[in-house]
Amino acid sequence: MRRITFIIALISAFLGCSSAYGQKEIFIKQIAFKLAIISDVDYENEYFLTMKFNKGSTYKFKIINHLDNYAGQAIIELMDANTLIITNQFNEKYYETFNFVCNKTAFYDILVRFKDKRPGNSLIDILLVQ
Amino acid sequence: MKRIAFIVLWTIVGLNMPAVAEVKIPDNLLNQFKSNDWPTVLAAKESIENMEAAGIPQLMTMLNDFTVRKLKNTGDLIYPGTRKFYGHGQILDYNIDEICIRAGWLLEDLAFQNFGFAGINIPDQELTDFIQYNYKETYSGEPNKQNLDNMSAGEKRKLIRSLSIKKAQEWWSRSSGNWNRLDALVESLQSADEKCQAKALFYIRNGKTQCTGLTKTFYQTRLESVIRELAKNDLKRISENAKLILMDMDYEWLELKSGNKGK
Repeated sequence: MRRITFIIALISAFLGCSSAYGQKEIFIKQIAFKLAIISDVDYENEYFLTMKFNKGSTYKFKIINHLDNYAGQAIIELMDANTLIITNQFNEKYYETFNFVCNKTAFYDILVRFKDKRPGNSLIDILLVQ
Repeated sequence: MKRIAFIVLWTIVGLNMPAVAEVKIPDNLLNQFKSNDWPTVLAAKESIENMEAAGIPQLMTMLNDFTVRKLKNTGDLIYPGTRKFYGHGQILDYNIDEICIRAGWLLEDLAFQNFGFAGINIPDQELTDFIQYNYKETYSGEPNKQNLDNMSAGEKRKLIRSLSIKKAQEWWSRSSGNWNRLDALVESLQSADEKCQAKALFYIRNGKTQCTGLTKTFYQTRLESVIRELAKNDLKRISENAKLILMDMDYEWLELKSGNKGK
């Protein structure tokens, strides 16, 4: 009986590992946002994009900052109308990668700004996690 | 006979006049909007917005009310009065603890205007630029910049507040008498102010309150061509929102609005 339990546990562990290794990330979109000069017009200082995300899917956002030595750090805000769903700056902590688990199929607004209104040059990859 | 018909007509008009003149925000609704309970304030805001032009005179009076009612039960509302940030929630750029700013918030959303109330609580280092950009007529140029630089952040915020109130009052003295929300929507879409355009587009896309006369036919005859132009705008916030409205072939945005179910 013990041996059977051990074998079952071993198989389960193996299946668990293989599914973790088998996790795929499918590239969906890359946002390239370069802001060399800060404008008086607020909306010129941001990147705005609308994307449809599907319920039950997980999306990963990966940020690469400081391209060409630009100082700005990109802050992403994922919005559903005027509700902030998720952001990569939480109090004083800044995250270069985060996952969004979608629980409502809808068009979401993605807003990108540079922290402290500095010039910046960043790439943001959006991936579907499977 | 003509005289009798004339008298009857004027009697009917006379009888209906008080009803027309008395359309205003009921006291209990106004008190709910001024309360310190966030869900109550939000519900009252929606009700007042549904009244369209009828509520504006009382909101103009509220602009002179500088009392502070610190909001409670804000849940995950993110606004300048927020003490704790949870990383998600409804975002509001207005410090609606101050009654005059709360009225300004409602007025801007109702009329798709940008008086400047949202600028009162921006970071200190952005205040001078905000004043110079938003109130060009009175505060542009280098001498004004120097005057502004000599002010403290608190003084600049008070200045923005008084300039916003003044701008709202001037707007109403120009518009009262013949204002309606539908014309205001068209004007804002055609405005040179990108904040007004964004407010109007946001309303079309997400707004739930009433705008009398906003129907599928009105959209097709009056709005669609304007929105097509906005879809070519250089500002992505404008063009992306415009494109999404154009893409909505089922007019789901219209279904969202009060009184428009099934039209």
